[in-house]
Amino acid sequence: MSAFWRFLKITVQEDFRSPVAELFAFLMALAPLTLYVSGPDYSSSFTDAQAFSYLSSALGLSAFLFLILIFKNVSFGLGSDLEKGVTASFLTFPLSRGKYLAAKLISGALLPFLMFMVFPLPVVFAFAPRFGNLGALFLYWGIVACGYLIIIGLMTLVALATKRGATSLIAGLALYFASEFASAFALFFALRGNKTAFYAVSLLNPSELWVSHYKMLGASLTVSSSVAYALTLASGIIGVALVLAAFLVFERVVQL
Amino acid sequence: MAITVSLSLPTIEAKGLTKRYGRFLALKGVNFEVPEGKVVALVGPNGAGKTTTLKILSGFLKPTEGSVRVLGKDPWRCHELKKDVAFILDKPNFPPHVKVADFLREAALMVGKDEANGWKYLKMLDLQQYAERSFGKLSAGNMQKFAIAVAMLREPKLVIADEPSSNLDPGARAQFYDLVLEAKRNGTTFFISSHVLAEMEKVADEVIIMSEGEVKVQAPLSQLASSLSGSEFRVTTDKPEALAMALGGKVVDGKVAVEETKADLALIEAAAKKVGARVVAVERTGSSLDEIFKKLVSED
Repeated sequence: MSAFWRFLKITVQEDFRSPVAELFAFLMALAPLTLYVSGPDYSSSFTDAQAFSYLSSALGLSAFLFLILIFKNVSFGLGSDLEKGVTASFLTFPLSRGKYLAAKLISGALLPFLMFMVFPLPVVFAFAPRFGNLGALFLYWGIVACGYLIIIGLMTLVALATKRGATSLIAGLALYFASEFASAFALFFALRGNKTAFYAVSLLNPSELWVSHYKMLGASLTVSSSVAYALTLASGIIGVALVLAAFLVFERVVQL
Repeated sequence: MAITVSLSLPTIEAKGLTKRYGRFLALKGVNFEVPEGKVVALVGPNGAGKTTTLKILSGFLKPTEGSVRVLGKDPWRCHELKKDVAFILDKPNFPPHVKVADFLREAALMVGKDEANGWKYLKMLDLQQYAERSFGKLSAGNMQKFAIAVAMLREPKLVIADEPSSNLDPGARAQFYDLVLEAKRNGTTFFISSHVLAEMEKVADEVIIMSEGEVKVQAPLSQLASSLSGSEFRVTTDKPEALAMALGGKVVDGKVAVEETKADLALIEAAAKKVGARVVAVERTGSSLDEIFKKLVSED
């Protein structure tokens, strides 16, 4: 096993230490209750719109829970390690900066995302045994991944630039809430015919785009599927670019 | 006739090393070499540029200008170098919720060594009783000891240490310097930055004195002491005036003071015999590293 895998093992051990893992398991167990309370008849066959609507309500809370885990892991796992000299101690081992950051992001962000993909699936099928619209499921995962990537990229860049876990956390929270507020305002203008701001904000969080596309807000705002796909893809590209920029900055610029 | 030519490269070679933080010039074209198998002490007042120099050698900082080679390689680019080069940071820190024993095992395997090697150093530094604790529950001193153990377990060719004894109690300091001397006997090179000059005096072969981002002097410790301090013999005798005259020295506090360059023990004995003086004691005085350091730095 190479130094990278050994380091990844230590990082996972640190990020998912007790009681963090137990706490999230408990919250995940609670999540289906919210669905049960608000649940319509899930046994009928689904259209794309119904499937998306169902997944939004079934997985929305889980997506938020795992986002909290990502907030914690990136800010405390990476930012605080930079701040307290743990990163410097690890880089005295034969481990490149790129591999160090890759292990941190695999443990801190990719694992929570994979957990988000896998753990709530029993709930999805428990409430809708006939659910078979895998296309909608992949689309929902993709939309969530786009939002996660942008937050992860920004938080990582802020952590590297400031070497402060708290600053990284504040930046992540600020982006999340700012995009939520901006989305609400942009929707207000979009419903009155000006979609520019709505499309721009959708680059940060494309979920509203699909909510509109599937007419979950009523028929007054229409977004074509090609526009929705294009903007979701653009959002993903921005997220990936931010994460890649973080790697580049850490490998070439950051001085410890 | 056999001619032996030494082809060994310096373990560390710094050429024209300059480091700028914004408008502040921390290093101003630093040049030095660290020969193989020696203990070289890097000393200097606060802000002299010692930590910046060590961070460049560790690959944590990129020099603004100049070049540095550690075991012939660029530390900023070559990460595999760290299998053979150990760094002891001034404030080492490890993941707070990971257990010492777990980390030790992974650390040993990361550098391709056996875990038993790590335990050897853990025991040498009296740390084995903390093995089941997490790092968050270790004191700064024990954290420092662990950093030393983790550095040494890779049996490095070179150890670069920044204030390695700063958090250690006197007993642990002695253990560390014993460890340095033992590793040196096995061929390990040490480049140690320290403020504790008395300790450096005991282990260092060479000294580099830095001040205001420049290397003021690099020399073997013995050479530095005699060339800068004017070491001398102090002879306690029953006829100080006569012996002083015979040796070309002077009487100071009732003892004959004669410069080391003008006399040796045989000469003192011969001169005493000639003037009929009885030599009670001969002391050799010289400046400590502390005095040399103060003298050089105050010249700026």
